[in-house]
Parts: sequence; C-alpha cells; structure tokens
Amino acid sequence: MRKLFREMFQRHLSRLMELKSRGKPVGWFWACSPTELAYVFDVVNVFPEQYSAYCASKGASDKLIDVAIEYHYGEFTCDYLKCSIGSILNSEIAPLGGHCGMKPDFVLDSRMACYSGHHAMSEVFANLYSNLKRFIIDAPFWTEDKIGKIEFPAKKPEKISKEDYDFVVTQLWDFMHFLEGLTGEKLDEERMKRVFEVAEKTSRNLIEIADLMISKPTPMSQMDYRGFPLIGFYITAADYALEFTQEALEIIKKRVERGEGVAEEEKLRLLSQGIIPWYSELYKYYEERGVVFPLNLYVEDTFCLIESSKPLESLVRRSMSLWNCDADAWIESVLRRAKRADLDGAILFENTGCRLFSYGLRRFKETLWEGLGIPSVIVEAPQCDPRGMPLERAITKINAFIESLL
Amino acid sequence: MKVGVQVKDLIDYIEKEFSGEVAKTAKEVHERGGKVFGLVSWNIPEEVLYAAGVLPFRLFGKAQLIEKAYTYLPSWSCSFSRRCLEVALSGEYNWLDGLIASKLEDTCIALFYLLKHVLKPKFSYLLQVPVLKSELSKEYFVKEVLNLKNRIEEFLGLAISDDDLRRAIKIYNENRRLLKMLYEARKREDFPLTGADVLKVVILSMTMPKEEHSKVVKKVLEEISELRAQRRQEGDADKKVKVHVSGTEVIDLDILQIIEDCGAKIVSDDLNTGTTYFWNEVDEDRDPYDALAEHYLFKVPNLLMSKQLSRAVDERVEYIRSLVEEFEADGVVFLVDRGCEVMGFAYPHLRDGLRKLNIPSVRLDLDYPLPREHYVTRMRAFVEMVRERSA
Repeated sequence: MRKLFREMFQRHLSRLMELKSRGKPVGWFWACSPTELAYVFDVVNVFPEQYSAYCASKGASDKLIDVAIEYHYGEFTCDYLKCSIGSILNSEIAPLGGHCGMKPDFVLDSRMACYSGHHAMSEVFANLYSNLKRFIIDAPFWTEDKIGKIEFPAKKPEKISKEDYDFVVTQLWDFMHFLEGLTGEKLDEERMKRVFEVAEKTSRNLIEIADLMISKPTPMSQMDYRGFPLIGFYITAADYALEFTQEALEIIKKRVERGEGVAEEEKLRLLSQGIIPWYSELYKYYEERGVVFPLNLYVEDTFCLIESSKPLESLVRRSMSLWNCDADAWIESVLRRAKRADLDGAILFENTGCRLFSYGLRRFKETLWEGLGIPSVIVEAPQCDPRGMPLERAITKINAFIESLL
Repeated sequence: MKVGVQVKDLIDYIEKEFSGEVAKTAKEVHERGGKVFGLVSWNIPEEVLYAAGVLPFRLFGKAQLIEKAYTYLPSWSCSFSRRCLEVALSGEYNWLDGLIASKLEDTCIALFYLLKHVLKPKFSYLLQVPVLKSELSKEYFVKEVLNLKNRIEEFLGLAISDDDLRRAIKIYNENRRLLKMLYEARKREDFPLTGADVLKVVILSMTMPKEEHSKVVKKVLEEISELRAQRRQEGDADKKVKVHVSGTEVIDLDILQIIEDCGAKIVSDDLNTGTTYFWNEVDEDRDPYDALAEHYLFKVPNLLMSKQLSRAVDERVEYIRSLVEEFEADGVVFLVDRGCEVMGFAYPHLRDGLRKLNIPSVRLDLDYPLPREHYVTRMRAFVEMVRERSA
C-alpha cells in the first residue's frame, strides 16, 4: 500500500512540475477548501499543511518551528503554520526546497474549517511574499439549526439553509472568476463536469474504504491510512488519486474477504481522534502489540461525498467537517459508527495550537463515555514538534491506559 | 496626587464591580426580573439585545487561581478562556439567561460550546459574523442580525420594533461619544487618571446598562476637570513617556499599572476591551439593521476581517498609526497573551509595520501569574530607549 501511495504522490509532484513549467499559476490551499477547482483551471495546487506534515515525518520540523518562534510568532499557534513559516524564512533547511519550491501566486484564504488559523496563516503568507494575492472564501460555522443532523463521513446534512448556501456559492463563483482572471482561461463547463466525476468516484472509494476499516479484523494499518488526508482534503479530483483509491479499495476488500487483519491477534480496538504526531510511528508500535484502530475520525473527517451532479453543493458540504459543525449535528452519526466499530476505547490526540479541535476534546471524551461507555485517554500531541511531547511519555501514558483496558 | 472624592468612589465602585464581585450590577438586573445574556465575543451587535430589554454582559471571568477550567481546556489555552470557564464551572455564571458568541474566532466558538455545555442557558446563539468585508457579506450579515432578533423575540415572547432598535442605537452612540471624550481628555498632560482606571471605565460599559454607564462616565468627566485644575495648581504634571497599548482582550489591570509605574503614561489603545469596542458610531439615519451590519463589518477595526485581496494587518497598523499620531504617543506596548492565537499570528507583522513607520514598540508576553520583574525590566529599557530617541 505504501508503495502505491508513494507512486501516487510522485505523480502528484510531477503534475505540479509539469504545470509550473507551462507557467500555470501556483495556488496554496487549506484543508476543506474547494481544491477540485485547481483541477478545473490547471492550477499548481500546493498544500502548506500537508507539506508541514511531510517535514515532520522527515524529522525536519523542529528546526523550522524554531525559525518561526525566533521571528516571534506565537509558541502556541498551529505547528503547521510555524513549520510553513520556518520553511519560507529559511528555505535552506526546508525539505524539498520549501513547499516543493513552489512560490505562491495566490493563497486561497478559505475560512471553511479552521477560522482564525487558516485566515491568519493566509495573512502571514501575504505579508511574507510580496505581490501574493489572498482570496477569501468564508463559510458559516454550521449549527444544527442550519443543517439539522449530518451523516459522517459523507458530510450529507438533512438540509442546508438557503441564505447560507447562497452565501457560500456566490463566493465560489467569485473564486472561479478570480481563477479565470489569473489563468486567462474561461471556465470550461465540460471539463468541470469531468473533474467532478473523477472526484465523485474517488470520494466514494474513500467512504467505502472507511466502511471496510471497521471490519473485524481491522484490514489496514493506520500507518497507511494516516496518509489518506492528502487525498480526502486535497486531490480527490486527480486521476492518480482515483487510481490509487481503486487499487487500495480492491486490496482492502480482499483482505476483508480473507479475514486478514493488520494485527496477528486483535487485543483491543481503539478509536483515534486528532492529528497523529507526524514524526512518530505510534500506530505501528501499537498495532504490532495487537492494538488496532478501526476508526480514525481525523482521517475520515477529511472525506466528503462529492456529487458530480451537484458540484457546488458538494464544495459547500466540504466545509462541514467535525470542527466546523455544531457537535449536536454530528454526534449521533459518529456514535453510530463507533458502535459499529465495536470499540474498547479511544485515544484522543490534543494538537497544540488547534483551538477548535483541542477545546472540544474533553467534552468529546465525556460523550464517548456517556453514549457508548467507552473510556478514552487524552494525549498531548503537537503534530509537528517532537519536543512538545516526548514519545516515551506519550507511550507511557497510552500504555497505562491500555493496561487498564486489558 | 490627591484623587477627588467622587472619582475615587467611582473608581472604587468600578474596581469592586470589575474584579471584587463578578457582575454585581448585572446580577441585580437579573434578580429584579430582567434578562441578562453573556457575550463571549466583543463584536456582537448588542443594540439588538438592548432593544429587547436584555442586558448584554461581556464575559471576562476574573483574576483567580485556575483549577477547574483545566478539566476542559488544554494548558496552552489563553487566559481569557481559562478565566471565563473557571467562573462558569464555579457556578458563578449560572444565573445568566442566555449566551451569545460570534464565529469569527476559533477560541470564541470553542469556548461558546463549552460554556453552553456547562451553563445550559435557556437561550444561546452563535452569530455568523463574516470575515470578508464586502457587500455580499453585508447582505448576509443583515439577515443574520435579523435572525438573531427573531430568535430573541421568540425566546422572550415580544416584538422588537425598528424604533426600539433606533433608540438602542442612540443610547449606545451616546455612550461611545462619552467614552471617546474620556479618551480625548487623555491627550492633556494633566490628565489625572491612570491607564488602569480608564480601562476599568471602558470595561464596565460592557457589563452594565448603557444609560447607567453613561451617567458614570459623565461624572468621571466632570470630576477630572476639577482634578486637572487641582493638579495644575500643585504643579505635579510629571513628564512621562506616552505609550499606546496594543492587544486583544486585556482585562488585567495590574499589567497597565506596571507599565505606568515604569515611567510611561498610557494615552491610547487598540484593545478589544478598549477603543475597538467604542471608537466609531453607528449611523442613526439609515435602516437600523443595515447600519448595524455596516458598523460591525466595516467600521470596527478587527484583525480577523479584511477586504478581498487586502490585509487585515495593514488596516490595523493604520489604525494604530492614526491613534499614535492623534494621541502623540512616543511608542507602542504590545500585550500578547501567550495563548492568544490572533496576536500569535499577527504580532510580527504589526511590529514590522510599525518599524516601517519608525514607531518604536516593545512586547510584553502575558503569562500568569504576572512576572512583574520581567515586565519592569523590559518596560524600563523601552522607556529609556524612547527618551533617548526624543532627546
């Protein structure tokens, strides 16, 4: 699986290089933003958050974070931001030349998931790069009265209030006009249709994979699954993402049919929530010891059912992630899913600097206990800074929790 | 300096109201049968609540040892959210009739849901304040303010007329004007109040009925005229370095006192608990909902809102520059809560923006308990540097 993923990533990088060589504009995009449009307009799509995760996985993030802090960015801001800034301020120590050497022509300031974070990061980029255009798209924080109950992970709500829907869709059109101006190309509706058809197939594959993950035994390692946000968040519309998810789906289906699991013997089935520290192999460590993770809410929250017949509605729904919706709207669906996964407990990673995520974690812990009788442990986990939570300490904490479950 | 009896009494009253007992006046309103809604954010069109007879009460928590709040909050959370939640978990906000926050900031959204969970208010509303300053956003926000109005009407079983709202806007504007007059008075060398006292007056306006607060400000303004005359006679108008204070939710008065104890005099600010709350007025001559949307989207300086393809930091730097110029400040003191995301992102660019304008600045990291000696050392160095520059 990892080989397939690497091949897909290489194809993604090749696309970026090829478009760049043709003089196409470079756009930086955040999670939950309408990245499909980058494929409609042949924009070089770069993802600072994903790049920061990559830096952490290569052991390069701590130095980049230090560069940002030396420049007086807040210590308790998002690790992704600090890492990204560090790579801009000192690209010499940044992997892949800093954001794959792709200086942005514009940043899409999409306030569709992380409100102050994504916006502030876009603003920071606009300050660090002269002539950078920052385009804002704003979505509501989806309250239950606006959407009713929502199905996870497809992100299908019971309703969408008209005024909010119109508000976001108008801005999506404005963004497409902005891209028309930037690329000098008119919106090609046929092409848009094809792009969204690919995205729909990919997104359906992702959702099916998520459903298979809760099988017994758990068919895929989280070491593989943790890479899926790249697809869910950013490249659903890419043909290479579709091919990867098709192959992955086939592999997982076969494993489920054969009853093959990631662990030789499943001792505990745990829910994972929050961003795993990218510099660690915590999942591997536990899977080798029979502790598996059939439900990873963070990974699956990056998925969204894209419907090619309703492209703009799909992009609006993309903003309905767990961190951008009233918990009352999604909790029933998540608990239903957790019940199906037949869980013994949960590990909740508290990501430093992520307010929407981390402030709600202790409440979520209470809900898991009240709703399903599942105990959980909260582990401080700066996603890119290994110094914030030494792995040994995290393992000690998780081990104590696991011992209490066995 | 001798402090006039009335002003001293007023400041003592404010002090008590502000930190001694949480929400004394608001609680009295509630006990008399009035409705009080707690506000998590500072940029909510309070006029709509006021028009419905509801007292908007800004939540600040209080300075105390944080114990219970860590049950829900990470250790790196900002002091504002820790304090608010601590008070809520202690049961001291249980009397609130409602809770409102704006979706502009992650901290406020997350805190809103935590407070909702703890307090279980009968009324709660998350106001969708757009981040983009545009006509589309304004249209959307007008509808959103109307939604809020409808929800309040439904909850209270009453109707809010346009005239009710216009009256509320007038009352709020009068309060804004009075607070601005208080700041105008700070321009004089013989202004007798401390920066902490002025901030107390402003913060109090966020927690008590505006008409009553306006009476308080009028009294303060009358008294300071007398005090100025007295001060001139005594000839104790000492020369201090004039500073502008920049930050977000600064509610800790001790830090302002420390700044002034180091040879500085605070003359202006761009705090959410200061000028950004009251500096501009709502237009009284147009449709009230349109006027409110216009005001809260376009006229209130906000580090989280900007026009398309422009930068909020530039707007804030310009706002600071205009105040520094107007109040003839010699420099800027940034108060940065270590857990504040907004300043955590914006500070380096605000600093750089001021450097380009040749405005000196110093940063004080707010952490609790306040490391007084650390602040004193930094402030004294800053005051010395500024004095040398202007010598």
